Parts: sequence; structure tokens; C-alpha cells
Amino acid sequence: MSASSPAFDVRAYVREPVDLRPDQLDLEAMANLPAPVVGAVGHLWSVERTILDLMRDLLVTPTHAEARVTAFLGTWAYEQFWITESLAAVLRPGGEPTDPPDSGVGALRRMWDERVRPTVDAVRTNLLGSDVVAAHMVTGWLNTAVVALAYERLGAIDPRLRPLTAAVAPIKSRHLAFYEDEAHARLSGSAGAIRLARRTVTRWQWPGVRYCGHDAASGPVRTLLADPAARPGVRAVDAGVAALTGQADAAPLRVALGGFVQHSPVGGTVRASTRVQ
Amino acid sequence: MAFNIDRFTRDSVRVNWEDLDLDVFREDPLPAESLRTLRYMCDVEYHTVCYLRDMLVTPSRGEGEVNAFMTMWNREEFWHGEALAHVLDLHGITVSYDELKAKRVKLGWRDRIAPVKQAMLSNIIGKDFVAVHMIWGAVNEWSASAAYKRLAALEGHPALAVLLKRIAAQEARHVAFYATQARQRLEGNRKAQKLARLALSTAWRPVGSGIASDEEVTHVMGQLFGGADGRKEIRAIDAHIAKLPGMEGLTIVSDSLDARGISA
Repeated sequence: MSASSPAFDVRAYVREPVDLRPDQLDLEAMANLPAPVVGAVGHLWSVERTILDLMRDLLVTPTHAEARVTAFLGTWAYEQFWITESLAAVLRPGGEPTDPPDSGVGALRRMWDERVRPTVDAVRTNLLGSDVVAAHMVTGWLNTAVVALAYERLGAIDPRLRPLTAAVAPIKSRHLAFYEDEAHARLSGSAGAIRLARRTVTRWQWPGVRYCGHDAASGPVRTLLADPAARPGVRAVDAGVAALTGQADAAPLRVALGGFVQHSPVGGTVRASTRVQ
Repeated sequence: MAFNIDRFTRDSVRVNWEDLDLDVFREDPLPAESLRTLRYMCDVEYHTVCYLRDMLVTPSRGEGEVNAFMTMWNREEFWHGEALAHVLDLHGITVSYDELKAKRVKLGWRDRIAPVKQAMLSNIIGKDFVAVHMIWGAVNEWSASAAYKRLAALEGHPALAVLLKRIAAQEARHVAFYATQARQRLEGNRKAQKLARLALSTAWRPVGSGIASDEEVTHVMGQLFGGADGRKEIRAIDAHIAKLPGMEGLTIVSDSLDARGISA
């Protein structure tokens, strides 16, 4: 298989989706979780449920023509839907889960994203051409790797959640395999794709902060990653990005976590506890 | 007609054909005109993700039930494409991802700019656009369901008929969603009714018109809905549409066949 031919078997993937349904989980065993853990689960629910936002952002670009990618996305969305439903079921004993409120800037961003950005992106990315697909695949890998790390940490923090996190892990692994494969194939030999991917990686932010801001997400991020035991996972995510063609010195997760430090109260616990070296 | 979104998402499955004896096509192939129609249907099903894209830039996205429906709907329609691609493959007609990509690329700026047009229009119209989306979807799904049932009846092939009826049954559930939503959103909303009526009467075309040539659309509509029995199905669709609030007297599907010279 040449570097420019993706090897991931999309047809096999779409044929055997893993739908993690709430009735497969012992929800009673996951009741009465400590508040910080509930906050972290709620944060993940809020991130995972933006399934169709992500699809919209990809499909208005030249990525929509990539039948391999759209075939993957249809099944990915299905799997994501059931993960979100399962997270909601875990949270429901404490009340119906809701997204954190938008910050002032976040509300403007949301208005822009919903009313203007699809149009601007459709025109801009179609002018950029198919190189933009590589950037989408890199971002897809990064978002998935970070969320997968969050689940891994969640299982370590509260063993009662391990049946959930253990079930999610193989789902995320397949998503990562697809994105990695596509990213490698599309970055190989394309200076334009590498440049666009680098720009996207540089601007990447922790998922879910675009509208609610760093303050609202800092608690869950602290819960998930403040422990030194999280550091190898953080480094592994950055190393995964750096291993992609043309992204050698990238460390997007470490940079994004720095965003929480910048937004934390001066001298506050967030500054100290979310710093990852 | 009530629609339970929880039940729909719970029961949503990919269409199955492994239990059907479709290999008989290797010795007893379908006629060329039916393969042409199946190819058209296959392309339309695979193109659903692009219709989804055009809807995701409108206020329809963000509505909880609509989001859940769209996720399942997109996957079910994709599998209709896979099922039809399997039948075509048994006839030596390969529908690969590369070929689908080439077709989408070939649509050019008309296709790429579609979400832009849709976003601008829906931004101007606002929430009432969702009602238009829903009635539009209902008409398309009624048409699709009728098309599969007609091809099953016309071909009379036992295994193919079962497959097409399974697909039609899923399309019928999609109809139930769209029609229920359309009715709820049109009821008592004169502005939405006027918009929907205007959109359907001026812009609706048979499903697939945006991606296939006029010649192909006319062939498919003629094969499936030409003659008295076909026209009876079309009139039934028009009757369903006319029952929705504010749509009395609309005959858009019959009109579209008349415009193509397809005889009743």
C-alpha cells in the first residue's frame, strides 16, 4: 500500500458499528458519583453531542465529495449518537444534562458559526481545494485522541465508570485509526495540505470551550488531567500529532492546556493544577 | 400520525439483504432499463449526506428531535445505497467510493454553493424554514417510497421485491417523521404555510434532479410512474401533500410528470 492510499477498511467499519446503548450499562452502579466526576462526564456529554455541528463544518467544505470520508462520518455519527445517549443516561439521575451557558464572546461566536461561518467556510475552503481535507483529518484525530484520553482518565479516577469508558475505548480507537490513516495519506507529498494542517493544529483549542469559554471547562479539565498520572497521556496525544507528516514540532494539547492557565484566576489552583510539562 | 423519535432511533438498523438470494442475477440479470433506474436510485441514496449538509446550515439543525432523526436517516439512506450497489455489482456495475467522489466533484460549483444558498435563504426566513424543510422531506420520502414499491411491482423478481420493500418500509418511517413535523409546524402558521406552498410550487423537482441529467430523471419517472398504475401512485402522493395545512389543491408531483411529457 503506497503512502497516498488509505488502508483503513471503511466498508468493514460501516458494516460493524459499535452502538453503546444505555441499556448495556449498569446505570445504578454509576449513580451517586462525586460532583467533580459528574462535572467531567457532563463536559464530555457536551463535547460529544456536537456531532452534527462537526458534520456541518466538514460537509460544507470539499470534504463532502470524499465518499470514503462521508461513508465513515455516517457511521461515526451513529456511534457518537449512542455514546452521547449513554453519557446522558449516566447524568440523568442528577437531572437532565444541559450545556454550560455561552460566555459573552461565546454567544457571538455561536451566532457567527450558525449564521455566517457555514457560508464563509463553504466559499473559502472550496477555493482552497482538497488540501483542506487533510487538515480536517488531523483535527479529527486530535479531537478524538483528546476525548479518548479523557475517557481513559475518567475510568482511572472513578472505577465505577470503567464499564462505560472501556466500552468507549475501542470505538474511539477505530475513529483514530481512520483519521490517522487518512491524515497520513493526504499529507504525504502535499505542501499545501501540510501548511493548512499546521495552521489548524496551531489554532486548535480544547474541545467545547468555543462557546462556554475556558472558565466553564476548567473544572472538568482539572478533574481529568491535573493528576501527574495524566501526563504520559497528554504527551502521547501531542506525540501522535507530531508523528503526522509535516507536524514534527507540534504540541497542541500542551498549548491548549496553557489556555486554561491564562484564563485561570491569578495564583489560583487552576494555574498550578492544569499545567502539564 | 404520531412519531416517536426514541422508538425510531432505538429501532434504526441498516437494511439487510444477506438472507436474500440475489446471486440469481448472475444467471438471470435484470433488464437494462431497470438497472438504469437502480443506478439512479443508488446515486440518490448515496447523495443523502449532501442533502444532509444543505440542511445542517439551516435552523433545522439544533432542533433536538431533528438532529436525532438526521443521524439515523443519513445512515439508513447510506445503506440503501450500499444495498442497491450490491445488486448493481452482481450485474458487473461497480459503484466505488472513488466513482462517487468523481460524480460529486463533477457537480462543480452548483453543488459546492448549495449550502451557501440554503444558509442565506434560511437566515432570511428564520425558524419557519424548518417547516419548509420538513414538508420538502415528506414529499421526497413519499416519492422514494412509492418509487421502490413501483419497481418491486414492475420487476416482480421475488428477492429484489423483498429488498425494495424493506427499503420502502424504512422510507415510510422517514415519511412519518417529516409529515408529522410538517403538520405540527404548519398548523396555524400562515406564514410558514405560504412559504412552503411557494417553495413546493416553484422549486420542487423529482428527487435526484439536482444530481442527474434531465434525460435520466425522465427515464426513471417514465419507467416507474408512466401509465395509469404509475399515475395512480403519483396522485396518491399529491393527495397526501394536499392534506397538510395550507397545501390544499397542490399537485406538484403530477405537474412535474406532465412537464416531462410522461403520460398518465
